[in-house]
Amino acid sequence: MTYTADLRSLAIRATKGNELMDFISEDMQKGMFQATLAAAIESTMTIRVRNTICALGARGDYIEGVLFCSAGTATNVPIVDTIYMEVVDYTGVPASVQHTIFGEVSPFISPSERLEESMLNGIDRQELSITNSEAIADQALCSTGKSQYVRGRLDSRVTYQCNHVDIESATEMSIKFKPNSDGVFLINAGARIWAQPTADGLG
Amino acid sequence: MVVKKTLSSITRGADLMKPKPDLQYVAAAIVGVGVLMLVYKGGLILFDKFAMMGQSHNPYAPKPDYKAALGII
Repeated sequence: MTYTADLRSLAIRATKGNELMDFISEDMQKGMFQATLAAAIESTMTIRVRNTICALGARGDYIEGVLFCSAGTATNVPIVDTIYMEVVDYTGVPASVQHTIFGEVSPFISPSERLEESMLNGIDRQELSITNSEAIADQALCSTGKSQYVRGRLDSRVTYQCNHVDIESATEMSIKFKPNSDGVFLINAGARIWAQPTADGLG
Repeated sequence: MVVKKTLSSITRGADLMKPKPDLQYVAAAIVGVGVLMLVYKGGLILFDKFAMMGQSHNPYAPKPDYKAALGII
């Protein structure tokens, strides 16, 4: 299979829940990344995120790792293991905590509300390392989000998709993290990130 | 005499100079202590109310480091 498409860069993009605003916190060129993750992440080639950014579930925000690429040929479909991201998954977060504390690292204006220490009770935090492990089977489904595996289970909060159905027009492939209303997805400064540098993940 | 007479008129015949154990005295003491405790508690409540006034708007008021507690860098 020949690749006609090419990865240009990997961006981290946050979108506000009302879809009226989005924000790219950083954009990394393809040449930065090690060739393959087959032998795990090599520490000397690790690319780390510089800015902390988050998506508030209460507002419907989401964050994406976006692979900007040139378009593929008609037979291509996105393949697996083209992007790796480390994110922190919070659940059970009251809306006022989301707005006041996480709102500080959200790129969008967030209200500051009165907080009590007890509001932090019951918040679950887990650090996740996620690759697009589940293939998009058909070219006709490329613009439909495909749930990915998180800790061994398919999780509808994490999906992978293209920005167009026809792969000849698709210029973005993205792994999307959209928290539930009581959750927050956070990418901490220092989190590792990787993208397939040699091709755009089309096969 | 005048003092004793005045006191007698106030206490309606009880001889305060020669107090005797009486249910009225005991009841009065219990009610008196109760009133004192209520006043004390009310004072505490008022003190708490006024001491906290304006704290939420004071940028220098000490507050927990919520971001550190949640592991946000």
